Amino acid sequence: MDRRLVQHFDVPLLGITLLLMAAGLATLYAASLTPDTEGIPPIVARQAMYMAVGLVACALCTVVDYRALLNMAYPMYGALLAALVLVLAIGFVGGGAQRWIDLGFFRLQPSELGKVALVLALARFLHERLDRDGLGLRDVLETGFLVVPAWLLIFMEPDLGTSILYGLLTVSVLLFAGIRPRLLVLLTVVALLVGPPTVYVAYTYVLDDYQQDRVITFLNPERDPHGKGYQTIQSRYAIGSGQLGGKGFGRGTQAQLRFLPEQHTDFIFSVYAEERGFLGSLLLLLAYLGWLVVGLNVARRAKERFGALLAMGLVSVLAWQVTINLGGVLGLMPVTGVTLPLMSYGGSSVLTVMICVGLLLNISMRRYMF
Amino acid sequence: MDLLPTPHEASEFRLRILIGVLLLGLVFGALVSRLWMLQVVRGEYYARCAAENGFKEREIAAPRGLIFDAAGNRIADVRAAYDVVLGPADVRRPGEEARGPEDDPISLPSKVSIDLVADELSPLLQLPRQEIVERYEAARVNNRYRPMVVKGDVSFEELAEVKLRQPFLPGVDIRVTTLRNYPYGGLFSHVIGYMREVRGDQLDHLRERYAATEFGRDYYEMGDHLGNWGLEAAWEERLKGNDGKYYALVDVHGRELGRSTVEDPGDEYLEALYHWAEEDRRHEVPGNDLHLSLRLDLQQLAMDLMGEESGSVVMMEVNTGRVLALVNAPTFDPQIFASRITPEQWKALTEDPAHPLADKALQGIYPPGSTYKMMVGAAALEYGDLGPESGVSCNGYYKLGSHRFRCWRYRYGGHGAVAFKDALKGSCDVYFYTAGMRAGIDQVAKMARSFGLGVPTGTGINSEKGGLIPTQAWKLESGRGKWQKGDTPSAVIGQGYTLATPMGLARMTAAIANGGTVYRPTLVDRVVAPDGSVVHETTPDVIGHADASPRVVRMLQEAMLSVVEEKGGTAHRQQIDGFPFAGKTGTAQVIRQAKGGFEYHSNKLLQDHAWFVAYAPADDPQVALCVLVEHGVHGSTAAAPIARQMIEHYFAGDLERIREAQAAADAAAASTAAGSGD
Repeated sequence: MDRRLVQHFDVPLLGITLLLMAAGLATLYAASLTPDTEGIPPIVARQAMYMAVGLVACALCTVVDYRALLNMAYPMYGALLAALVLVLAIGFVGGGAQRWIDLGFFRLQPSELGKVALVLALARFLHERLDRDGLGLRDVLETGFLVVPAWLLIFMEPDLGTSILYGLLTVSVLLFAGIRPRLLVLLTVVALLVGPPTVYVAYTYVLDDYQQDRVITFLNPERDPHGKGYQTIQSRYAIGSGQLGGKGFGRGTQAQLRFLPEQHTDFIFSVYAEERGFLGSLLLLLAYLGWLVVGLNVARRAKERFGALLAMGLVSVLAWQVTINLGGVLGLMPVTGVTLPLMSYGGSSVLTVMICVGLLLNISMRRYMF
Repeated sequence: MDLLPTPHEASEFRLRILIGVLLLGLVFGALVSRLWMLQVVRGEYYARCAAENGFKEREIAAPRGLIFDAAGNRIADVRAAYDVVLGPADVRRPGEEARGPEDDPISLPSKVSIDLVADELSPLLQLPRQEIVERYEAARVNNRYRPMVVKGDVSFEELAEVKLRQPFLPGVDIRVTTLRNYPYGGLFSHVIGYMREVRGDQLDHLRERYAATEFGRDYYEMGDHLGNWGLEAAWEERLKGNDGKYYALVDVHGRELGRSTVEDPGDEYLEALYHWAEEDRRHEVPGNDLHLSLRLDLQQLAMDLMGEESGSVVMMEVNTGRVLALVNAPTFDPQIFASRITPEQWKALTEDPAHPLADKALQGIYPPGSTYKMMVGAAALEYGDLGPESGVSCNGYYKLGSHRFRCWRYRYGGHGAVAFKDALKGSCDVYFYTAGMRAGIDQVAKMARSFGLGVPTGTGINSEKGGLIPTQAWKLESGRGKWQKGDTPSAVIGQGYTLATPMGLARMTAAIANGGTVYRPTLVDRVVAPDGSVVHETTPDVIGHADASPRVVRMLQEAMLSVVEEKGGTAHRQQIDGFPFAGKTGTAQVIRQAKGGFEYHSNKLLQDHAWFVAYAPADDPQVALCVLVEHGVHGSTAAAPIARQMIEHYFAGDLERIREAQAAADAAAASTAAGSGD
């Protein structure tokens, strides 16, 4: 094995990842405690298993030179589309939406892993189109054609959060790749003009009732404290009651008494914030920020476009998830059902994040090759 | 196309990465400041919210006040009742997922579907399956976190069955409440009234009323029972009591957790919570007890004596106005209103021609018939030129213009020449037609009103009615035109426009007996707080005095005595040997009198009502009675025997002494006679 591979290994990236995993497991443990808990709650054991699988996947992702993925990018994106069609056809229905394929031992959510496939396809597509002047209108439109099928399929599940995420990922990668300045100004103006009416029309005619409710609830959670605003309010009580120093590990009354809905998945941060308080939450946020900045650094140091675009896309996946999840949990934006990387319980989510980390490590390790 | 990656200049993405880092910094800055806002600035507020969240207010139902009769028998108490309830949020709809997308291995029981719950509960509780599902759907929409009563007041068998299945039916629970219990069934129904579950519109009203008081807005809550009629309604505020509350540490399913389950001794946070919860504990305050003037034995006897008849018995003390018995027959079981009354039950009650729900004594207005003759006589004697000895010749009819008003003895040629006492004794219609015409209708009305007729007596329950004492002015005002001379004869013999309630006639009789004092009839002697202190004591309430001079009252008394005691009196057969009492029979037409006097109608519902008013004993009056037997035809045979037996029962001790004295006197007389004969 090449010595340089080891020399260029991104230790901070892996270190922060492991730290987040530990915090995630501990919080999950606290969230699952019941008065008669004995030993390790099964949900924690499972999550640990998912994380172990994730670490293996992460390691596998570092083995082969990421540039080999150039040829794999479109087939993988095709596989994603096929899987999404499959979900709609035979998928498992849960929580009013059809998002999962039941593999027997595991329920796979293709739109999770699909984030990686999307980013790969985008990087593959755009790295060829880049010239000195940046992307033209034709490039942007064609990128749109590439993404729309996946986006539509996810929207139809329906999964508003993930479809928005896909849109944000695409825009992020496009902006990072560089759009010609004039076109960028034009697109911005068009977006500002067309955006608001489109959102209104989409809200009125396209969104399901439950999706509309989420938006209304976000705007005014106290409207229906026992009904649709319940999550938001309980989450706020949990976080706020943590105060400066927190209630202590396993002492969050909101979490312990099961007042927090989705406390293992989307709202896991509330559990953490209740028990760790502002200081602990600040630490966690700094860890996430550091993690993402280290990721961006991988993109910066990448020696060729595909790697840089891919790294940027992968960081976007993580950054947007952190932003959307925490924004929702903290009541800054509507709750959309996006998980918090490495904290939320769930196999698909853990696996996706670990693959992202693995690919970032891969890109980082092979930056000497030029 | 070149698929090989191309090396790029390091500077190409630098600026954009820097912008990315800056954007991340902005986002995290926003998140941190939000956290600061929530946790530090408003942290204390949210900590309190979270505490209230975990500590749920639980109610302790205050037992309603008891009701006792005059002898201290419990005639209304409370019993524990068990409701089967369902938490709408804890049961899922058929299509819904029992759990999240991936199995949620935390220890909460998974939700079962309402279909399963309905399938299980429907046969156990004998409820239509569809009804359970529909009410669940409605409750879900209304408030999914408030328990919904599937069936209230279940039997012990049902309770046992549900308990047995409960582990398999998460979300189904048993709730203990208290319900009113009436140990004597319908015996006191019309006085005590009944309880019903508070209706939505009533609740809004009650909340508004109590919002500003010390009791607060939640004094009444959904599912509470409310006195709906009778004393239960009139004394609701005293009887209700104030529910207590405590705070229990509960999980999101509302299950109470013991202090030890979450608490780690020495945890300051939880200790503070417990301290706070203990401070806000409020003990329940039971309602006040009512002690009535009614007597169980008299109620029972009156009800027995009424038998299958419909009508009313009222008995009161003449010197206080205390009501000793108030029975309406037939009666109803007040218990059926406590739970949901079925349409069949309701139909049976409302369509019964004997009107079991009606409080005939207070709300029933009937023509008083001949019992009104005391008023006519008093008016004529007091205001008119008719002297006590002035005779009127009765040959069976009274001629007014071309019309003949008949006397009830028309067939027998009338009563002949009669003065006041004999006229009342024989209930001569012609005498009273004459007396009424000579006194004038307004004078008769003035006298009757001074005896308390024509207005509600003031018992304060059941929207009591007053009846009607007609005058010339009343007729004109009511749009029936000018008073005609021909209106007077029927009005003065208690027919036509004249109407009265049994309670009104009982009080009139009491006023005759006590020399003219008109009391407000009272049902409640005293109200006693749970600590034994008397919070309300009823004292005799004199409303007014009859407009009859002692001389005239005495003449009324003598005449009423003759009705029972003298040969030829209409109630002479009811005489109690050695115990004189006074009375007056009455017959109230249900339809216009047929030619030739009384006739039996084949339809019982068209037959006349029978009246008897009485007071006893004649020399020192204690009690007054009014008995009404609907469609009983003759006061003397249908109503008077009931009054007589009530009197015999009430004065049983005196009668015993009188009879012993009589027997002793007879024995002495016999021995004297034997001795003299010797």
